[in-house]
Amino acid sequence: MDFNKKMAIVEGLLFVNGDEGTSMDDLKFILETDDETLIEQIINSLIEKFQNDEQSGLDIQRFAKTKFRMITKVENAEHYKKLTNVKTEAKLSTASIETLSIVAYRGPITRQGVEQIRGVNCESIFYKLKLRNLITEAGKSEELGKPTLYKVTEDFLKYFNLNSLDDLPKLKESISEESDIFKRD
Amino acid sequence: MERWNQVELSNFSGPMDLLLHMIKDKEINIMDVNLLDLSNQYLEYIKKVLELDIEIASEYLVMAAYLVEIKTKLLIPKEVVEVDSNYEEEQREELLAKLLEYHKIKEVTDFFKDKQTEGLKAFSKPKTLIKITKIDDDKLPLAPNNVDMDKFAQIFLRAIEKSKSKVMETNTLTTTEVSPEEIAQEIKDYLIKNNISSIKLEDLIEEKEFSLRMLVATFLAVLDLASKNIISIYQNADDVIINLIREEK
Repeated sequence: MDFNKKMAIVEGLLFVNGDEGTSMDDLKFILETDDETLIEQIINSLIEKFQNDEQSGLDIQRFAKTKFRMITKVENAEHYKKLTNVKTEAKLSTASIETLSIVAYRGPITRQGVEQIRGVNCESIFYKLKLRNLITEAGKSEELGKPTLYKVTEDFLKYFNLNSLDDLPKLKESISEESDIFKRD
Repeated sequence: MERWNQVELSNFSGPMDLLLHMIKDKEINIMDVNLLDLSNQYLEYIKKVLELDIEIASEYLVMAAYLVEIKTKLLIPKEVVEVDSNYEEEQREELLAKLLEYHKIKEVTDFFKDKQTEGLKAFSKPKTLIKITKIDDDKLPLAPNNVDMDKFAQIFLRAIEKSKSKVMETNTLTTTEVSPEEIAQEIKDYLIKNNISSIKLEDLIEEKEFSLRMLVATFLAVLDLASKNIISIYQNADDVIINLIREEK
């Protein structure tokens, strides 16, 4: 099987698996190979192909390091927004984003831990984030009552288009930096 | 201070957010925050918005109570109890630490918001479920079926014919409506009462008062009993036989 044929198979596979994404393991299974370098080459060639092809409306998103998803090109979004099946209310609220950020940076963390930082009850937000599979349980804390710890999920990485938590901007940790952060720019 | 009248509680994601905003608004370094001033400012604002949604306001009231506590401690004369000498300082430190931690998080929320906006511009389709695999008949989760469907249909048609002729003969309007559940119960009762374990489908239909609706209900009842494994249906020569498997109440 030549390289072009493999590209075609991978392109089709990305279409079939759609939103769920295609993992490196899926690719190995379908292409019947353990050669990750080869698979990387195929994926990179496909990404390049889509991005250079102005006549194509498709693109490939890489998330969680080794997962791939076929998506429509971002620049065409406005055209699809006319569709009734495009939901805009799916956006996360500021409170949800704050909560998610805390779990992403400070996780595994308990709900009480997040509430300490936010100064607000986060029960319903946790419920919603769990429903959307953006956070998930990550064992029990050793604290009194052994509350559940939470961490962000792979869907979180997909949603925010991140390869790993290393992609997050660094938080300002040192006091010297903090001393001026409360001043207006 | 005038401007605070125009500030909506709903613009904030919580009491920490409001506190942070107040500090920023005064353009002061968090390390130099005068908690007394901050408490007063916060309480004044909360007083103005108290008539708002109590669900939301309650979160802010907890913070207000906390600030009042700090404020009280700040106002009490110093020489109260030796042990408590560090209390005021500790509380101040604790609140400032929380504010700092919250501020760090607050600073990166724009990153997530931007990423979200960008992400929502890409559309994808759900995973395709491929239905190519055909399941062999013997692997179907049902008991083997040896009933000839044509035969089954013939009995049904014969019954309809009978039903028509009967209606013609008697020329009465039947308004009896029976549910398949009731008929199923009747069939079971009939078999048990007469101490018979099997009956021909046709005979069973004979037992019933004829109407198309009743006929359909009877067929449904038979199928329902079979699906619940209470009866089995099998074919014997030209007849479809209903066999009682087990007795249920």
